[in-house]
Amino acid sequence: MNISLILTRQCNLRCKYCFETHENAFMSEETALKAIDMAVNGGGRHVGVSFFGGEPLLCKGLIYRCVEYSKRFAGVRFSWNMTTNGLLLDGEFLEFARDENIDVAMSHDGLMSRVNRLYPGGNDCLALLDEKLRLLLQYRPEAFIMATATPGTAGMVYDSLEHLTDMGARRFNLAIDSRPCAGWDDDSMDILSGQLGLLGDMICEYFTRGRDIYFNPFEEKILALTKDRPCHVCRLGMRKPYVDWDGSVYPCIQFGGVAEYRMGSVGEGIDPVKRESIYRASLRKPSFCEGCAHQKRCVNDCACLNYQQCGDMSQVSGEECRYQRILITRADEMARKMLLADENRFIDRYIKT
Amino acid sequence: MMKLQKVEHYEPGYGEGTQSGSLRKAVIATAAAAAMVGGLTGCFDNSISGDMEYRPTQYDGYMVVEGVSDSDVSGSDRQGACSSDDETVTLDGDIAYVPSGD
Repeated sequence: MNISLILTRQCNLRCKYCFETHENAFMSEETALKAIDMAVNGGGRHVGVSFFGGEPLLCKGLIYRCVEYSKRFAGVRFSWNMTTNGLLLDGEFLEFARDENIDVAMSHDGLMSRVNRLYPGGNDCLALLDEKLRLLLQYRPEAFIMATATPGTAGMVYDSLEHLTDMGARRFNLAIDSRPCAGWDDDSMDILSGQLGLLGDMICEYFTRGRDIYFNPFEEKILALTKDRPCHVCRLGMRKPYVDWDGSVYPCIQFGGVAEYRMGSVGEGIDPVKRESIYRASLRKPSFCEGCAHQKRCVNDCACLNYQQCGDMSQVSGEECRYQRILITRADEMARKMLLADENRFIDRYIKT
Repeated sequence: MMKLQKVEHYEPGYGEGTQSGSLRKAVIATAAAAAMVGGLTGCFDNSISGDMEYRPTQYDGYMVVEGVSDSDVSGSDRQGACSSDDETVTLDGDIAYVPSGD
């Protein structure tokens, strides 16, 4: 069984778009190790563990302990990953992550960080983010960089991702501020669309020069087409339960602390009836989307996103709908250009692999 | 709040203008097919955590496709891990071991 561990709700930043509560809540060692026991006892020879937060590197010692603890389970293969704001990365941790094969993804909004990624006092941390990104890329050149755009920074997306590319990053994801209060409208989405068009041109340009840049939202849309597979399959509660700092188990991150969706705890175990019930409920796709030509390439069934944006797993927001349509059309625009530029490399990248 | 908008018809347009007619047919044919494959990236969690767990990896001569269940791996549904319907898949809990074919 795979799990995500919310090591803490606390963070050393106060990003403007963050949905976290930032309470001073930290997972105990006992809870973390019980969570690993639960995952191992969940069956299978593979356990995937994601370290999450808040900022998981506030609990560096606990991460070391979890990895050390896992070694007692002979015959079980562990894979580890984490997303960090990077500010607490250092050579020692990155060597450990390299030795233990912990996939480290870093949140960095590029130039948008000046606006949105702030210390609690209100100053931005772009300079330190850049320093830590360079350090991360020395150890993990293929590290994923996770950026977030808000309506106010939509016009900075291209320059931001170019900034990251110039520093050597090759793999990116871009989320939009998906809080209901984010304030997206047609104008800001139009701006975002234009920026993603420029990004697609940049990626295509690199592609023709033999340098591969992977913008995950585009990659997913293209692969959904070339591999004939849905872009997203939620499997809420089944795929990777979230273990909150206090040991309570929820189906996914947005349901943390919501009693109705609590599936159990690391002490009690997971209630299979509750888990199945939540999973079945998540299978109801948004009724509006029936018959939409983009259904298979959309993330309209992401229960987490839908719940965050609409308070209902089976409803999708207009903002996400527009973002998905932008991603699909811009991804296809980029793919058409790449295919024309170098058909063989396109086939290697999107069909053969 | 922005409005939802359904797209009635959409052509991705891959293959137009290329020399390879077979590629165009293959890509458009796959877009029209109705295969269901489980366990992919793209969820909210992945958008935050960059979760790579569903990417195939080499392991002892097999492609390991992680996080699948019996219902996810059947017939030609292989999550892109292999290209042949004849390949044998060994399931062990939530891992499928698929011969790499190379």
